[in-house]
Amino acid sequence: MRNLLLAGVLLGAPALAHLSGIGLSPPHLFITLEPGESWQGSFTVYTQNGRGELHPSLTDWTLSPQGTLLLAPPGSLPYSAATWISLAENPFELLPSHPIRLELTIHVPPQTPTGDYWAAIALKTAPSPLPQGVGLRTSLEVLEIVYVRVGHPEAQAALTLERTSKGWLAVFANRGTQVLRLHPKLRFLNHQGILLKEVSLSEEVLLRGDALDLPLDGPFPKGSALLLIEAQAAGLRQPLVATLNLGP
Amino acid sequence: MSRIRSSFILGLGALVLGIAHAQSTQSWVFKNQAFAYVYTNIGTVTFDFTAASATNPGQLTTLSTPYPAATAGTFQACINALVTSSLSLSAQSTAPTSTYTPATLPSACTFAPTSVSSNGTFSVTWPSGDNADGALLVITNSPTWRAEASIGAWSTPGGLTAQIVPDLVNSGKLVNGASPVSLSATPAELSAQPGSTTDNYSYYTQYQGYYVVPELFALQVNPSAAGAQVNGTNTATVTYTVAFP
Repeated sequence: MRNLLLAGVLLGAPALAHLSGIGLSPPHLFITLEPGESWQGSFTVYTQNGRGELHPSLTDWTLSPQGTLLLAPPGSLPYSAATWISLAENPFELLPSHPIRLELTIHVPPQTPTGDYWAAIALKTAPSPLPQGVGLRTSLEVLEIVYVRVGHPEAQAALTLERTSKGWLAVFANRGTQVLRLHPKLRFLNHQGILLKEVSLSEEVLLRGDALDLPLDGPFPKGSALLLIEAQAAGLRQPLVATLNLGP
Repeated sequence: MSRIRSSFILGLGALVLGIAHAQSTQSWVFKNQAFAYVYTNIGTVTFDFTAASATNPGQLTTLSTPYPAATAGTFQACINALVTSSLSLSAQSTAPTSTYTPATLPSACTFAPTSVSSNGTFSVTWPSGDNADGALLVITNSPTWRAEASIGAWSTPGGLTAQIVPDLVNSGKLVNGASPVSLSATPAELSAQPGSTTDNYSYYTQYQGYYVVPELFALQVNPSAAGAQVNGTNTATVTYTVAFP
């Protein structure tokens, strides 16, 4: 295909619209296996914007306490499942209205300890053509996230409040062997204990061994005296709760 | 490992669920009907520093002004057009359960001045204020997402530096999101981390169960660096990365 594209350009054929849209269905996989077991499955990639080559590869990933996505070579991070995943890493062409199903196999090695593990399949476009002079090329990369649950891991977490130079932080720490999907809520109460406002925050992923910082910076609702922080996650026996006195 | 090309479109999640199978006893799940679609503008940005080098030696040129930055209103209108016209999400307050058909998503959405499906060559001449921004737009029903832009090293050393900064104006503030908001409301979330080469701009909004994630970036380049004077090719690559953990 690369040769055909090159030939088209050399012959003066109209340039193909560069791939500028990628769809994933589903955008992440969650597989449960026992040590020594295998799974075969797939996910679908599609486009409606242009056409072009995608380059699949395996990668490790994690999240910073601030939630930033960080990538690392496969097998380099704790709890990586990248080395358990097999897929064809050959580039392939994506065309509008022609979804492609990418198949993968996951094999959990025997003796793997109980717990959640994860990795991702990165699908990246080739950079746009090289500009003349000083310039920038662009590339689009989407990740198919793969979680592998081995056995029956334990859900355990803690919530603490920390004061920093910038204000208070609610720090969620994952102390179990499961990946947790937290659903935090903030409740603002006045001096009489009357609820002034309740804010449901977006779902947050808390990986094994990780911590998540939630800044508790204002402005708070007028008249707030107390802030209740609560977070629930599937698997936790009870919600995580902390209270912050907002002063007079 | 074989790769199977298929022309089916409807009910992708359900079909994948039906085709996938296990080799041994196990249980597994994924959210049926889950999907994510990422629009972006992909192209080449070329810089002409000739004028800037003469008029602003040693000065970091930013593109935040005077070119017309996208406003909250423009992308709201754009997203409204995408979502309401194609996904038929009437009266839903949770993630949709109806069949999702990727083909019904429009292929383009334009923020002023950036189209998230455009591709091609963009030219920037200092200090004329031409646009050198980038855009991402994600439509998904996955409640978690991460989107960021990063920039690699220049191919030729020469002191040339570039930064990616958020590029969205809402009442004079950059807009970002720490929690979902209704698209019908004025976006008010803000969280930007300008000044580094890899940032995570987390503006997003939730519209009737679908999450719509607009991310705009503008490039800052120092036009007086030695690398800007090089006549030969001097490039770096901007990569947009999107994941749904």
